[in-house]
Amino acid sequence: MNERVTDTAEKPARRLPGVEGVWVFLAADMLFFTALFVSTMIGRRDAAEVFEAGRLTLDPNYGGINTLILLTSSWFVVLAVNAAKHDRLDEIPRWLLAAFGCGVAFGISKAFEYGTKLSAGITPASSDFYMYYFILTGFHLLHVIGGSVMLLVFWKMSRRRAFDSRRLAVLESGGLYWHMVDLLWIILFPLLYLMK
Amino acid sequence: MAAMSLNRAAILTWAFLVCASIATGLLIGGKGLSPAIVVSLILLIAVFKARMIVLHYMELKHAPLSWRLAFELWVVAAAALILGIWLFTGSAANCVAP
Repeated sequence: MNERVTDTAEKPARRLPGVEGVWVFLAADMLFFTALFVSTMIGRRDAAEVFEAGRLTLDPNYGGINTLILLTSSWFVVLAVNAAKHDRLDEIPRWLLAAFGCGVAFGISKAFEYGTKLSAGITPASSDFYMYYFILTGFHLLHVIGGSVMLLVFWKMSRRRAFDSRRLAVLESGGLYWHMVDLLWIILFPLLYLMK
Repeated sequence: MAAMSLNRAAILTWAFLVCASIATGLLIGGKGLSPAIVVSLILLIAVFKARMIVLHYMELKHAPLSWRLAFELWVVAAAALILGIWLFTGSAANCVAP
């Protein structure tokens, strides 16, 4: 039939979602975290026993629950972007609100986790391990808080119908940032909680 | 229709990511494997998860190749640096003894 025509004519063009500047920002942020990952590993080399003792006081259930919260929240953002792509405008605020709810849940879970540490007298000054633990999870939490505020703003914007298939760049760019927050946690969680 | 298939792809990705996270949970609870194997597998699963997010949620699968490769390279490099330092600086050796 006409396979040859469809082969070339219907192949979708490669497309970078969002705006290019966001990707540069994400790359810079990810390199910053890579430097933190490497310095954590070097700190571990110098004090392996202190790190292992510290790690054993962390509850991997908190980390695991936080992983599921962020994965789910990323999924909600994908659904919001898909809804915008297909002009299903009523769906967008629903998914964004759900993603925001996940961000809040992550914050509450982290507050409980920090609370158990601080009430046990554990601070960043307690050991090298806890210094890295609080710095890495603290920087990551700041990203979650910033991202949650962004999702709330997007939610309000989507209620005013600010996003649709022709006005995607802002929503997509914010979504990419939120996925990066998820991505960083996927590396950070085993690094601090799971590696013996 | 297109929206439905995109949403179906998104839930499949989510389901894969959740299953991979559960596999990580089973690994850390498992007995009988050496720490080097457990840590390597945990990081391997993390690489698969991170790559799924990069390709499907961040949509780099259909992006210009240079951007796709740069972010895929970051995923592999970040995990390789962590595992490499762990294996070659004695952290692993410290943990082999019970």
